[in-house]
Amino acid sequence: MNEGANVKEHMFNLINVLANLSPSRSIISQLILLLPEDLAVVEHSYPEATSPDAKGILEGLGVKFGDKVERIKDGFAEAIHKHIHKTFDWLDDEYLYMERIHYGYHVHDVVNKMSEVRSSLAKLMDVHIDSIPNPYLEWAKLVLKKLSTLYGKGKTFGFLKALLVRDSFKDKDWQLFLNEVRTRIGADPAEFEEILRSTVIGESEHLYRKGTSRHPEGDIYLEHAKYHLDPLLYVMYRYESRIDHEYIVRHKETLTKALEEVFT
Amino acid sequence: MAGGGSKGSVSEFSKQLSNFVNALMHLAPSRNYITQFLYIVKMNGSVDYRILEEAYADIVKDEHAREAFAKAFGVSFTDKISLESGKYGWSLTEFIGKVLQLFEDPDFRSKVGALLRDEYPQGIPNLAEEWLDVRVKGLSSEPTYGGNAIKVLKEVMRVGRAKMEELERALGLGRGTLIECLKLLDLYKLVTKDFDGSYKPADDLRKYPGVVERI
Repeated sequence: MNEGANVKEHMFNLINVLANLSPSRSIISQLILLLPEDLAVVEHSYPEATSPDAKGILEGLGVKFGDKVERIKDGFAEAIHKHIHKTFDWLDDEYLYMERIHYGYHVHDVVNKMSEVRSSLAKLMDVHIDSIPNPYLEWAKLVLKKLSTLYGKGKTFGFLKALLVRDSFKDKDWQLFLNEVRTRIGADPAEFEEILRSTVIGESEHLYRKGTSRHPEGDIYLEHAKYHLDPLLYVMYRYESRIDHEYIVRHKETLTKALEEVFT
Repeated sequence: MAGGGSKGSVSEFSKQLSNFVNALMHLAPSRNYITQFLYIVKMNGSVDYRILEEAYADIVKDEHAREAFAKAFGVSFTDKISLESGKYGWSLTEFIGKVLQLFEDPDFRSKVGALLRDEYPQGIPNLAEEWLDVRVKGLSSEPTYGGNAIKVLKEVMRVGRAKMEELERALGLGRGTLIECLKLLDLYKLVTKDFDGSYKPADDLRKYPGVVERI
């Protein structure tokens, strides 16, 4: 249909367009990502987005203004919120998908990762892998800069550095880790809770069910924190007589890189 | 974290809106070859390899491009080409569907157009209509059956619904040619086949008949 199109050029344009829609480059995407939020906070942080004209357009995008500003269910804002997360993961080789595997008559659902996205795009476009935009890295640097001013460098850096050394935390490991790291960085309980809410915990989004419909083996959730760095997957494993829990750390390399760039 | 615009500045918001709208517009399958390929596959569920080999030769015939599309977007290349459910190509095309819906809303276009009048003096384009226009033009430029396929489409639109035999009689086309034309019309999702075997115009053609009248 598109005669004489240049695949490399169109791919380059597509990646740039996706990067330009990310919250590090667009205030509109940023605001939508960080909702729900109190109106007073939105008016203070995004004054340009609360004029009558701007409000009219944001409402057209599926944003509802009241005492709280929030995304309307099934509106465009909801769609772009989801899309931002998908693109974060995609361009950071962390995109998860469910694969259905057939063993004879049995069907089994397993979760896999698209881990060769950046290298295959770089190869196709004939560019160095580092020249492919990474919206997650850009966003992480922006968030970490903000957090360093809120809680002081040492505490946020100390917590995230300790988190990123680990691959996962099983059952009681997580609470032991939190107790140990809170003492180590010298945060009081309220302050530590705030660091956790900003970086790792908040709202759980159910992603996938493992196993089969007759024999469910567990559920996988993505943990959305306030600023959506979302470095934790929460996995619940169901066995006949017990349920086990695990937190899996994701975006490790990129978050480590962002920490080094922001805090050193 | 937010941008450094002046307090409540309308012009700062207009600048941000312009970048946002511009990015969304360039995702549209009418404007990007990559999303066009992915969206055509998504619209059809799966497409015969040999059909897309002709229509998108520089993606489908190139081994490196096939490998990249498989690994980056989850495109499956066998005798049929399809998008693997849940992979990025799938979710990107879902999002593009939402973008087309958004730009089809006249209220949204008029509000954005009022703020970005200098940049878009003709108004904000309706991307759903633009995508239909590209598909109809793509059909008409198909070297072997394009001309006849447009004749078939116009006849289907004129009568509202028609069976294969009725089209044969009305247009004086052979069965083989007619089948190829209908395959093309189905690829671009310009007609739908009813349970009784009759063909009728796709819903977006009913909304925007002018697209075909202009051909």
